[in-house]
Amino acid sequence: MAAPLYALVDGNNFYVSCERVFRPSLNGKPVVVLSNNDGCAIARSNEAKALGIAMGAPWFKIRHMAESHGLVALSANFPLYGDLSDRMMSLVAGLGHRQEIYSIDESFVDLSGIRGDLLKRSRVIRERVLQWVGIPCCIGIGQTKTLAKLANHIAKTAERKPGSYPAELAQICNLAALEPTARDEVLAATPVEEVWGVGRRIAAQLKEGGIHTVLDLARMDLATVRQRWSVVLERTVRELQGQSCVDLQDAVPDKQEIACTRSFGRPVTALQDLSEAVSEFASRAAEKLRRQEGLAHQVLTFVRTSPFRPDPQYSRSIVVPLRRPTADSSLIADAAMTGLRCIYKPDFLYAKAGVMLMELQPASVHQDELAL
Amino acid sequence: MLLFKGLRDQLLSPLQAVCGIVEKRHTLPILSNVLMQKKGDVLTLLATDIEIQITTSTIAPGSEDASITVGARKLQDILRSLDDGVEVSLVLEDKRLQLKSGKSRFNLQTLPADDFPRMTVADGQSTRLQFTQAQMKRLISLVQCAMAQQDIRYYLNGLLLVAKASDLIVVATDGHRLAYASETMGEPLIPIEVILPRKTVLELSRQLADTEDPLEIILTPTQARFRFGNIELVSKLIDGKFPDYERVIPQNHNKILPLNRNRLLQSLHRVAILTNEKFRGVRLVLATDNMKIMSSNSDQEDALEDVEVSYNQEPLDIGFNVTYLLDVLNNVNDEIIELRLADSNSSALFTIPNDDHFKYVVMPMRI
Repeated sequence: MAAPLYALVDGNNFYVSCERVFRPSLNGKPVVVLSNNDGCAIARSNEAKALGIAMGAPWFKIRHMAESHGLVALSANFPLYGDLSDRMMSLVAGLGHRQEIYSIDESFVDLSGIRGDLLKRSRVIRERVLQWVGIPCCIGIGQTKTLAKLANHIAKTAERKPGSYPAELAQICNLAALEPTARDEVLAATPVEEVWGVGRRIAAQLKEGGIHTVLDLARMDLATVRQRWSVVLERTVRELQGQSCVDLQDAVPDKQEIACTRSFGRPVTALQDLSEAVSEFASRAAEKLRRQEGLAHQVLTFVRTSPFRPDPQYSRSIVVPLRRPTADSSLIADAAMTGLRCIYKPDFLYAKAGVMLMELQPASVHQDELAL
Repeated sequence: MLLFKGLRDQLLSPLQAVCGIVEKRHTLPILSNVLMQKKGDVLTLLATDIEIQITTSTIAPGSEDASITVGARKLQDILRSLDDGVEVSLVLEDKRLQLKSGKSRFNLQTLPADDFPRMTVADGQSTRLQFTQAQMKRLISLVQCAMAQQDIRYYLNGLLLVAKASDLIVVATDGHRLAYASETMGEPLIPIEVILPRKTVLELSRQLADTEDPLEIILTPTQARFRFGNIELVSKLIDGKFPDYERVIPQNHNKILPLNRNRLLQSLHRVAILTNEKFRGVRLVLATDNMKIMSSNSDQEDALEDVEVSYNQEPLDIGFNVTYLLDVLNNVNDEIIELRLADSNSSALFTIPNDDHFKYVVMPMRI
């Protein structure tokens, strides 16, 4: 069997790039895409990043830049992004022989055993996505998924911040093709928190122990990693060392839970208004459940006030079991409403509510009941 | 004030008899205690969770009378960790209970006995039944696996006890399967029909001995009292209407398979390893003189067992939750068990050949 080799293809500033496909006048301007209800920035153009706008920055904090720096803010249009994502993914699939769609803008492609110049092959795909869909993307290649993801980060950073990495790594970075010394230099220039699976907490712990760069992490003793952290981090270290531990997920596994939650545009107090929102969430969640041909055993309903306001705080959730597993919107909405009536308290300014379907099972399995 | 002085086991065994029902978490802190009342030469122990109450006693020579409550679990843990056969004394001194044994000494916090809630004995018409402990233990063991657990249909979270003509009948169901067991008594019984709560049933099954010693049951419309050995267990009854069990026991299933219980049990155990963790479905595929038991899981693994049976009717393919099948096979003792089927959408009936005192109905699972 050929040695494993993976690519990660990732659309640059994906939501902003999608908007720019239809509004080329936005090119070169600082642009952010805002989350539902225009709460915070969930995608930033390079120009916006250069203004120091952080991922998830609340709109009200950056709003002043619209005046001062010509910052353009757009409300998210998820159906559009989903459609462009589908087009991009179908082109990216041509890069290798198997594909895992990892998120709306990222997909892993299995390159093992593919002969020829991978750099050239990647460049063709990158150009094709740019020309046919209009989305610029970066491609990272490595012996493992973790390395491919890291390579993708390097390709993006090298493009966005010239000088951070060797210029030839911009846009397309094949870590597997680098000489060991060159590779180590790149890993040593990358902070440890850029590794897939290393979150803020683990990064802080690692740094406390003197592990600052990806190279430091890759050289750690495996037994120590497992003992002090977990088998998950050990897997990450092994992957950084080039030993593939996680293969592509070809089929999308069914969701274990299905949630539908929203922050409200303005605070909500009346039970009537909350009820309307909650039954809407319940029926949307039920719709998603039917799409994956599942049944739910339990319905969780929650409401909460905004922790960012000085008002009295209240937050509660409740799980209502269903008499038998179902995907019926009206039964699920009934359960969600029963839950809401139990946890609702008047006079609070509610900022968010949601419904989550839990203990899911496929609809194809059905335990018959006695006719009691 | 001396409450008890004697061998460890004279205190530990009665304590274990009452403390099984003490819940780990309580709204009332005193309910995690055991009530100890000394009167004359007898030390009475009592524990309750308000739904059930168990009382027993032990001999404790001494002159003074006293009563107190103390943490049941801690007392039990201390006694258990002492050596067998050592002497133990309990002395109540200034609201603290001192336990001494050899070179060990423990001082425990107490709460006043007057604050301890006790179940009042219900008034009203009472019915008295008398069996041996073994009879009741056997009946419970045959059906208890089918009781529902925290079902919204609260009347299913227990066991139906029926006296009819000279038969004592127990029934349990969780809506997916139903277990029925009966025993014919020598003489006609006073007709009754009550639902015992799940916890009471589990406690009885734990405490009843497999002996001919008597068990007395006193039933009032809201309460059941069980007296056996030195123990009295008082339980609330579930106030509800149990479904008509006779309606769901099929009468005309014509495909009858005598099966070696133990061999079927072993096969199912093996096949169960590769069932889906969540629904644990197995398929039984019947053909002439052969039954295949099959399972598969989400990792695309599968298992197949061939079982020789005597069967000469049309082929049948039917799925079940393997747990429900294992339950029935584990709880009967007979060598041969009969499986009666109709078609793949109808229930299956397990019986014991030439014996209509046991029936187990299980609904199929579509996999």
